[in-house]
Amino acid sequence: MNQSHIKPIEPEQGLMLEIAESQSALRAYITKLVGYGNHVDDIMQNCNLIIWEKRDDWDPETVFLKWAYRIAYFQSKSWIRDKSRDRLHFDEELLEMLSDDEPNYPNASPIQQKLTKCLEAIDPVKKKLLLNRYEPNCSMEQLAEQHQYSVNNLSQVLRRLRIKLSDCIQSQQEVVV
Amino acid sequence: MSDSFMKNRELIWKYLDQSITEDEFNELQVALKESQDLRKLYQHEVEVHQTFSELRKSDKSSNVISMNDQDFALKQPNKLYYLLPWAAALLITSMYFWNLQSSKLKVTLVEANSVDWRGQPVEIGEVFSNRIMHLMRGKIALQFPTKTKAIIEGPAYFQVLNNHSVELSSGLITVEHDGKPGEFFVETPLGKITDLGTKFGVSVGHGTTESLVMTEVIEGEIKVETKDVSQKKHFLEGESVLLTGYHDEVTYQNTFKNEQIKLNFSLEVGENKNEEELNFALGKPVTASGYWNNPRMGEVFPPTAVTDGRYADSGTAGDWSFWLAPQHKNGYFVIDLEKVELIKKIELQNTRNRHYGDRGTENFRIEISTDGENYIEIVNDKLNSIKSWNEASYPFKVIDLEPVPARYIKFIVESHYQSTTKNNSSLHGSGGLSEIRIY
Repeated sequence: MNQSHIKPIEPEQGLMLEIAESQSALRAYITKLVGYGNHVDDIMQNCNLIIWEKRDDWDPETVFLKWAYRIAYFQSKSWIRDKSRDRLHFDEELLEMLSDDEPNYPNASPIQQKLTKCLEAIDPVKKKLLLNRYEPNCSMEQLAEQHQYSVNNLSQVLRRLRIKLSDCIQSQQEVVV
Repeated sequence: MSDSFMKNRELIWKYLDQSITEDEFNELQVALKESQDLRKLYQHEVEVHQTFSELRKSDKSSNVISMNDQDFALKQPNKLYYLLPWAAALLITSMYFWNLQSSKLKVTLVEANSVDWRGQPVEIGEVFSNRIMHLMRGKIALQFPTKTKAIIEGPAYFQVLNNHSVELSSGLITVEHDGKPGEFFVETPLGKITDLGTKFGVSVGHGTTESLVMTEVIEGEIKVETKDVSQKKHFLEGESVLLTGYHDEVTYQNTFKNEQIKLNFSLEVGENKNEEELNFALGKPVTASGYWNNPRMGEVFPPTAVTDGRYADSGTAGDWSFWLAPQHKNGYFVIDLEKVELIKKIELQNTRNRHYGDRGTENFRIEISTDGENYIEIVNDKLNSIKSWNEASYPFKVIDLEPVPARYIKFIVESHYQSTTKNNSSLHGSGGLSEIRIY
């Protein structure tokens, strides 16, 4: 390709790239603060909109994710304050601590690579079970029935599997480091 | 690995699976606070959980089973271009829905004074959208088609919900409604306040564990409904109420710290003074010897309030606009102008601690410094006590100076005002200040 035909990235295009790049990390950060569930989508949506609205406040010389995490932190806090009816949520002190420990992975792909590798070592039936668990609107009851487990047993099986995979990912990270 | 580590790890996954009990959750919370290693592990498990979910969402799971590193390496360079249209679509769709909803809105910004918007600003004459607005400072007036004028004072978070209601998450709103009774309402974190043909004010603030909503009827009648419908109540002219609580657990109180609930509502936006260009102190950092701090009920009066551009003991619970030294202390604070400025005038507005009238600065000194270490005294004077809690009763004391270079300005209280009657068998009192302006 002729280099002279490559257009420089406009500031707004740069921000779009940053937003796109940061989606996984932001989602993980929000999940860490408010727990897993559909509400994470709502907070993400607000977060993206506010990032876009406040785009002039971001200095492209600084790390985008650091700035975005602050927005995500306040959006999560505001959700907890106003909308988290009937849900267990962490108190202010712990939220503060968790928000200080910013995630160290910039996007999902390194973990995806490791997870893929780790999944290869798992029994295909269990792998299917695990991935089914993350189907949209999948309930534990349905899944337990489908795979002929009691709900309690299924929970334990899934937890053991995920812990095994999590350890596998961690050991690969340690090797890389 | 220890048993407790494994147990906590189980709890993390139970939490992520939304199958944790309240006791287990509390146990997990304590453990996370105590151990940074556990917090690191929690972060890792969240990331793993997240990755599973993304694998499934992006429908890669079938490929994942056989995909190897090389496949990933081939796919990686395209990742940004795969995500970019998605992000663009998300933003454009969001903008589209905003515009669609906003096009039905006829709520206009009709007045503004010394405003500082965070995010996209709104200009006078412009119609509001459904966006959540953050008014950092200043006052604005919104005109609703229901013949309702609402004045919002920053700092405030609010959202125009539709042509007949607004949601106030924090801040102060004063409403004057000339339309049909029952047509206009204000949503707050603790309940809905419906206008029944009246003028009324609402403030929303937050303590560490509870929200506090104060409302006062200036004229006419309002209806207050919390999430618990049995708690529906009506209030008439001159009446006020404080709602405290969290979500649907709301308590009504007619007094706050044994005093009738009072707020300083104003139906005037005032003139735009464009102070930001002139006042060196506005928004500058302040440190102090100490401050009155009872966060549970939002009774927090940090020194930064003296440079926040808000006057006359205004604000809301958790976000009051004036500094108070701790009980029975004179106290001092230091403003850092962040660079050396040539200062020619200082203006001071005293506090009286709202309707309590039990605090404020009497004798004071002002010292200045260019390096934060060597100070010289430039003023030794006295502030009068504030006689009543309305904006007109809060004068600024103006101190003209020979132009002098300074970066640090230290305000030292030498003596303070206190209550004239005993409250809970003691006299209340401390130093304090509502605002300092430096030119």
